[in-house]
Amino acid sequence: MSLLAPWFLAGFGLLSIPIIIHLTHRQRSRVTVFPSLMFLRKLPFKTMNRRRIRHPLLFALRCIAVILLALAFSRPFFDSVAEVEAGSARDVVVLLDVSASLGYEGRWEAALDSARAVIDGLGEGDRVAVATFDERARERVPLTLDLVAAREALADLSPTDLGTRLEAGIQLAGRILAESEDRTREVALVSDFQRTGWEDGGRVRLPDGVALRAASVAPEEAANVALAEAAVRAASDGRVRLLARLANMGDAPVERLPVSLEIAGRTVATVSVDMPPRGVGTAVFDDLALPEGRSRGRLTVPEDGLAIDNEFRFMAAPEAGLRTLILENNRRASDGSLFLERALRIGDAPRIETSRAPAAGLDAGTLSSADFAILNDADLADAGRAGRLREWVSDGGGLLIVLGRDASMNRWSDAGLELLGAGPGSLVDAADGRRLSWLDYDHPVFEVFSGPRSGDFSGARFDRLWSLEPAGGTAVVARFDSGEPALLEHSLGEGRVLVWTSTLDRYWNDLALQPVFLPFVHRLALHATGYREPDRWIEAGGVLELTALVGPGGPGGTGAAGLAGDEAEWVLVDPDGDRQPVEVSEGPTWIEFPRAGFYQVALRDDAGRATTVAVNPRITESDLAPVATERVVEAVAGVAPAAGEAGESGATAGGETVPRRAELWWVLLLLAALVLGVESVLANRWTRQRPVSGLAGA
Amino acid sequence: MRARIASRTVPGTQFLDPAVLTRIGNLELVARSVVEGFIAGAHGSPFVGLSLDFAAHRQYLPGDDIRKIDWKVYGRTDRHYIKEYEAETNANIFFAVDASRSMDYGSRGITKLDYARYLTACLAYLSASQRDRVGAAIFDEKLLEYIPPSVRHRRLILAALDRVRAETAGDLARPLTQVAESLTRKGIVVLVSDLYTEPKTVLDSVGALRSKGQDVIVFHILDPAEVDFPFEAARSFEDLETGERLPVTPDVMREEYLSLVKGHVGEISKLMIERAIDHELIVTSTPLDAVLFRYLSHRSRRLKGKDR
Repeated sequence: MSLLAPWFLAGFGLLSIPIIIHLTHRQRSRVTVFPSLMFLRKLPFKTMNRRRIRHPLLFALRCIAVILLALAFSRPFFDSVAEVEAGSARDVVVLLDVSASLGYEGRWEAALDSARAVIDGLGEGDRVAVATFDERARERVPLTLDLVAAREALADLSPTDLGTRLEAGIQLAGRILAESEDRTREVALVSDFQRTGWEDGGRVRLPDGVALRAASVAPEEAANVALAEAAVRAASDGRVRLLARLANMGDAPVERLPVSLEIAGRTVATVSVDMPPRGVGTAVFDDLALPEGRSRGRLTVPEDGLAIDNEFRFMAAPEAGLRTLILENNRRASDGSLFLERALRIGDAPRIETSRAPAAGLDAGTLSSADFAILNDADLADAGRAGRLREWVSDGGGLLIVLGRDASMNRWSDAGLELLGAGPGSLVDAADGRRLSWLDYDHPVFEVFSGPRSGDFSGARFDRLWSLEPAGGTAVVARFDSGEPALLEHSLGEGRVLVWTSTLDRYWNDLALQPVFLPFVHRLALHATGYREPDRWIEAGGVLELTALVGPGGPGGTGAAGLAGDEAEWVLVDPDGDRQPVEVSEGPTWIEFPRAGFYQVALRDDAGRATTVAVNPRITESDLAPVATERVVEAVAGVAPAAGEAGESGATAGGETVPRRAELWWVLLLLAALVLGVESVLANRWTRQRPVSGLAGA
Repeated sequence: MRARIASRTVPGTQFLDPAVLTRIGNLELVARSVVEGFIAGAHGSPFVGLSLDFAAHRQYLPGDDIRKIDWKVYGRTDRHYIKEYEAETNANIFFAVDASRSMDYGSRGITKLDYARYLTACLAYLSASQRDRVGAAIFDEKLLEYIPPSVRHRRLILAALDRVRAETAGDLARPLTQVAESLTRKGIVVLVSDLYTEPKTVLDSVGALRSKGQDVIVFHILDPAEVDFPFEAARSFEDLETGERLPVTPDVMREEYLSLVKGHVGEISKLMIERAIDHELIVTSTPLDAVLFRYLSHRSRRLKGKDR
């Protein structure tokens, strides 16, 4: 028999209290005034009678009741498995959390102590396995009788930079014990039980009969400041603004926290940040001139309990912005590009620079300096002009064709129509107005508007539009309520062409006056050019595809040459400088970055062709708030946990220990109640006032 | 010729609860209520005519008590004549009231001292109404009040009783000796006390009065709690007079205590009888008119003895 709360046995000390009270306190507590002690004084020895027990049975019953209560509260239980399979040995899986949050001061040592205590508690014939988990679970030591080896294996472990997935560990432990037969099975889970590691909790269960004992090493209160994100925004004159986002995970406010920025190994600036309890703050570094190319950047804050999130790494590069060329019909007197240009210029993610040029005078030189071109209400009657545009798009350019009154589609050349992706359209004069009735919210242009209250296109009224018949390969992305296409898209070579069948000014519709106008044209520009914000950093445990890393579109920009089938050999240099060859496969080659720090993917023989990847620990590990241990145990074991030592809970999945324990407690409590009931009856009977032989009349 | 006193009990008397009397406050009112109620309840009782001497005859008138018809005169004269009596005024009644601290105890709404007050007031009222000379001494360890006997001192006695407070420990010997020396005329001395002293000391103290030729009636006043000792749980008992505390387990020692009290009362009673002193144990729950009845019984018995 064992006790879950043995400290309640101190309740036996209560046995002395009635006696002490009886001997000392009782007589002093009540004073009765009496006319004379003349007769009482003649009975001095009788007053000592209170020092002996008048009703030994009552006293015994009271003592038994106290003993039973103390025993009940100490929660004795019989190990159910030991009862069922007397003499059978145990199989225990020590499941140790090695996620990044275990790096919080003192947690790792406490976790190792708990794990060692489990192993030390095993006896002869017991087997132990050691498994760890962060985002993934690993079996470190399979079930073995060699307890020393298991203990030594713990010494080789340390916290990783990865997140927490309790379910992964539970599943692995269950699998290990599933192979165990005719043995008492138990999982000793040692973790800080981060809430973020149990977001999807409750979906995994241990096999029936497997007991789970959970030991939490989470301190009651853990303060932590984390660097969460770095964002680079283009400013004027090629300079940038860097925003560092911080999170205060503690319950106390943070004032004047110094945040230092380091670029290419040189400290650039330090700013102070204030943050409310469990709030966020932003450190702004303005007017930064970044070196050419990609540079390593580091943000740091003073060290606190969790060191891994006090440093944030990123790759910084000057922001070129998105160069946009607006091609206009130079015959037109009014400013049809005013709304379009103003809208595009607003914003810095990315910064969009605009320039205008007459569509009639378009040449290859003008186009070569643009990432995005807008043919705004101009015709493509000239086959040469259309051909130049077609060539530019095929080379990866993004084109938006906006059709207005000057589009003069009946004059378009075949090359122009090919660029349009549709046959020559007809002008629709909608006196009653048209509305946008269907938008493909799965399309990249509209997906940001898919959420509720994320943008209303139905408010715009269209009085005129071009009705186009899409050619093969051209997709309709939006339609008017009359069924005519509003936005079409088709690819051309490596580029992309979008066609808007009405104007982007106030002449044919009032879309330019709607709140959605600005984000809409931004989305058109970003989608047409295939713009993607460069990966400045990834989280530990993330993977990148080799081509994306070193290809033309990748951050390294080293070119596509030298991949599979080539003679070149790629190596991965980890934050410690260790080099590992990258095995290039026929398909996509994925590279994992498991630790925080700067990695390099480089050609073995040409260190100059290297791409640096900044890796940061999982931000979820910075939130140290724990989930209730009992909740985890209940979900995993499927029964209510029994309280154990401080920070420990336990239960058996599908087992019988819990009912048996409960029965024992209740039996003791019921016995105590029964004894007290008998005591009350006897006490009332024996201490009832006796008839007194009065002296009146004597 | 003295009137004959019957000693039968008062049938069906609705006695007044002493605790109720404490609410009246005015001693004279209490005494008059009790005494007049007592006399009314005893209508036709043999006490009528007590202490009165024959004065003359007068002719019977309708409404006169036919028992007062002198049949011998009727036999001689064939007319109805009523015997008329003259009040006897020569009886000395002196009250000695213990006002020691121990008398200031009451477990049922009335203290022993209050009870002694009412009892003495009633007796004084009754005696004065019978034209006895009444006097009183109130004492604790010394004389607090002394009122010599007189037919007009009833109100002084009531006022003195009203004033007195129980404040110090008591003593019987010295005050009673002073009383004995002060009484020059033989009479009845009524001692009202709880007699918390050794029986021998009581006898010596009361004996001083007896040796002076006084008839002594002792009303031994005790509270019900003193004679029943109804306490249960262990506690400390504090002496009212000395403040001394004693740890006691009442339910264990009740029998012994009661035995001691009974022995004490019995010893006093025995010694009193030996010295021809009337001793009456009165518990403060006893109605006052019942005590009056006992008093008058004793008094008539005493007077009868004298007549013989």
